[in-house]
Amino acid sequence: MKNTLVIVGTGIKFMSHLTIEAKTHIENADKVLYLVNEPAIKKWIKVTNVSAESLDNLYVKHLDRDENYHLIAKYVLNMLDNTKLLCLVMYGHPTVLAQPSIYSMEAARFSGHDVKVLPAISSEDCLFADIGIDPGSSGCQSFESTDFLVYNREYDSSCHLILWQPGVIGLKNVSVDHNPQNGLIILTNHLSRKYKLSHEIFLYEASQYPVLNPNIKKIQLRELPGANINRTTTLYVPPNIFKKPDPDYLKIMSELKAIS
Amino acid sequence: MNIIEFFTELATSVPDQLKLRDLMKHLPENVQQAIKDNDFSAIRAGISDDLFYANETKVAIY
Repeated sequence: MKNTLVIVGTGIKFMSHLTIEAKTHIENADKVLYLVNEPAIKKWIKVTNVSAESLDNLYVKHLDRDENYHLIAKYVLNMLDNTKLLCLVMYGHPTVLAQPSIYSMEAARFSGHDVKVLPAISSEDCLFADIGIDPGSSGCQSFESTDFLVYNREYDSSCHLILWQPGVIGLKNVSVDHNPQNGLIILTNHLSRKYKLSHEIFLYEASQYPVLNPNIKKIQLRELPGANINRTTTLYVPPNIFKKPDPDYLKIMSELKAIS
Repeated sequence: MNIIEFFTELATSVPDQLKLRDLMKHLPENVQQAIKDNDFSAIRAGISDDLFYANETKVAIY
């Protein structure tokens, strides 16, 4: 039987970021599964749809995070096989740093079910607004911090650079206790190849609650290893150089203008 | 007024400082303090303790 999986995100800020379409799907689904890290929105989901079921226990079932993500996808698929309209609720944006929903989406599509993924507000969206940057100005690169280091990702320091989850560099398991300092030392050394140690960077945490402010701290790169950061902190590194336009492309652009 | 109602009120209105202070009185003291400190982690913990979860696993999801 072909059923429908709708994957939605709650946004970051309680209730304020919940879109009307996400709310409508949560209210009307035959079954709701949720994986969110904020207790007030958990409570709201449970009250809004009595079928709602938390996936928290699967998230910590095994030590290896990726194994748990696959376990969640398998559970979602089993549920979908017997549910006409299933809604999976994730925190933030449902496909931004949300591997369980990506796995669930792929598994459901592979099995022939309909899948809809609704966009939501991610912490990156909040960062653009709160720090006041336009990703279209000079370009923007965004990496998960461990991925950034392990794959030695190419990046351009004339662009905005956003690094997710610098507080859990190298952490593959679901351990609650993790000292971020070693990872931050490695990240600082890596970034110092392109940025001066005096380069100003931002530690950012989006506001999770109405009226409250985001936590934004500006520090120098050299201070990063000793910085007080948590698992939801994002690192924003502003551009350090102004790149001159490529003369060949400038010429081509001017020719295009002449044609039009 | 419980915590859900408190934050829903904040999400759907533009309360002035006076009203905010008045609303805050309904919250547990540890949540009030965490809000004053702008400490999201402590707010989450305070809400979680206050609302429920005696029989649920508390999980740090990020």
